[in-house]
Amino acid sequence: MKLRSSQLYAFCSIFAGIAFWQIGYMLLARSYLFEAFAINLFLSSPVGVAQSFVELLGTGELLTHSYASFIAFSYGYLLATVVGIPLGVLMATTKKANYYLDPWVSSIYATPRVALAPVIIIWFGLGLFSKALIVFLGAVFPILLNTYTGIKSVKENLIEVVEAFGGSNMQVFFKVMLPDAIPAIISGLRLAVGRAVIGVVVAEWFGTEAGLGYMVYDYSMVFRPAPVFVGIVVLIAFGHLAFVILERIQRWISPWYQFQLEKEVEGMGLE
Amino acid sequence: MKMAGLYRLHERKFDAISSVILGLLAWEVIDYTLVRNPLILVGPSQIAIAFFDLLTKGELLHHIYVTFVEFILGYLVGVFVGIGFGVLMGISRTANQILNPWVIISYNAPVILLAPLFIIALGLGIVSKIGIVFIGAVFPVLFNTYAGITTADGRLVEAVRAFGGTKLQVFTKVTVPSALPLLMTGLRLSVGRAIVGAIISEFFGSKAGIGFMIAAASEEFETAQAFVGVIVLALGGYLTFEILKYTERRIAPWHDFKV
Repeated sequence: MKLRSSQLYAFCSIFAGIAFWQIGYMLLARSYLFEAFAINLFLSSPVGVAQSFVELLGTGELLTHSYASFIAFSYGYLLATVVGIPLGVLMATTKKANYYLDPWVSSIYATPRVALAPVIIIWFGLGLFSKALIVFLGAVFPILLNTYTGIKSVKENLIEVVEAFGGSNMQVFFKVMLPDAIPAIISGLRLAVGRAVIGVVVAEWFGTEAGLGYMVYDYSMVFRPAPVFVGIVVLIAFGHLAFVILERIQRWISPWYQFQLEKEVEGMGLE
Repeated sequence: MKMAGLYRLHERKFDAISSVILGLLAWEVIDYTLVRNPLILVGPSQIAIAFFDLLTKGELLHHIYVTFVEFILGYLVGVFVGIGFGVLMGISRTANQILNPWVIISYNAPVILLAPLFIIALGLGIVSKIGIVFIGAVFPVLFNTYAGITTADGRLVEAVRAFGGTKLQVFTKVTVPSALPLLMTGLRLSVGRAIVGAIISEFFGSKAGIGFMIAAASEEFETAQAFVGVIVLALGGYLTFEILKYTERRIAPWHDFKV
């Protein structure tokens, strides 16, 4: 019941916000400010955005761009998963690997990786590979670090029990470490979605001819804000969808975790 | 024997140093023997030369100064607005109900996408850059301030009330101190986003700044210069991060910081 009412409030708030935007825009359109500051060149109304959405959908432009972005996103994100999880496991289980890799991982993580985008484009050209690599650089660190923390925070006594009953290293890993680390790994995957979306857009800003990032950039350079907002809304919706899907997967694989999370929040209040 | 003991004692540091040396050496060797094309790959030695070259010409300091000004102004505005709205949402139920969905959407959404709109709305000057840095920095501060205020321990609030404390006293004696650690975390998270904002805004059109330097050097195939920019950013981010971590420990020494 409580959840329902908070959802209702959220829905009302978003609806009211959009209505406020529409009315505000219409009032602004009547005032002299509109002409003086050429507001229609960089701001659009919800109705204008919706119209533009239908138009872009009709011409097929939106689907073409979404498809191009989705491909770059998928390649980069999958590469980040395939590299990030094993590397995180390796760093958490092997002391030597941790000592040797840590300086490089920490220093690249501290660097704003979008700054590498122009260099990557020079190295690997304007094709899909550069885009996927930029996405990869954004997405890999949350996955790697969360896998590392997840494996590191496995309870010692669980490992000891399996070892005491003659479990092999393999069994310790698959029966204890992996199941215990999965919630952390999935929350890393969730964090990585946002980073990957930013990576796609930044990669597409630098000279491509397709993709939602390109669409946003191109329409803003010709002063048509409505399609720009369409692109932004689609990207946000995509990010949110991926987020929700991963949350469902996490609840399905590790239903006990929700309980732990609530415990942790409670613990924070008691400090 | 003594050497072996020393190594075991500081194994982590020794390994880190040897890893960095080996990595740089491998980079240099691959560059020198296999690639041999300064347009594509540059070794650490060339980056070091480019660094001192740019430093002695004074060019580097100018770019750093420009980016720093954009960063600090946008960051400060973001911090003030973020704390203001965070406190408002934390103490007023109505404000929370109205703003909460929007804040959550904006916190998770890649707000940096709005950068091109900021440029066309506010021009190529410093105002649009401050705007982009602001939009990047504001949400982590806001979200963490709000979370910090709402997670204050109810029993402490009750204790102050039971001894006749006023609402203001509850706020200054309980709410603020218990919100400080999370607020500091928000300030730290914002640094990264603000730097990314400054860089992206400079990519779009500017005459100076580290982001401009990287973009311009890349276009002229001066890869070494671009790398100097990237390294300066890494150092800047690291430095700000450490300063804030130090401040955190001074302001809220009772709190056990995880990161």
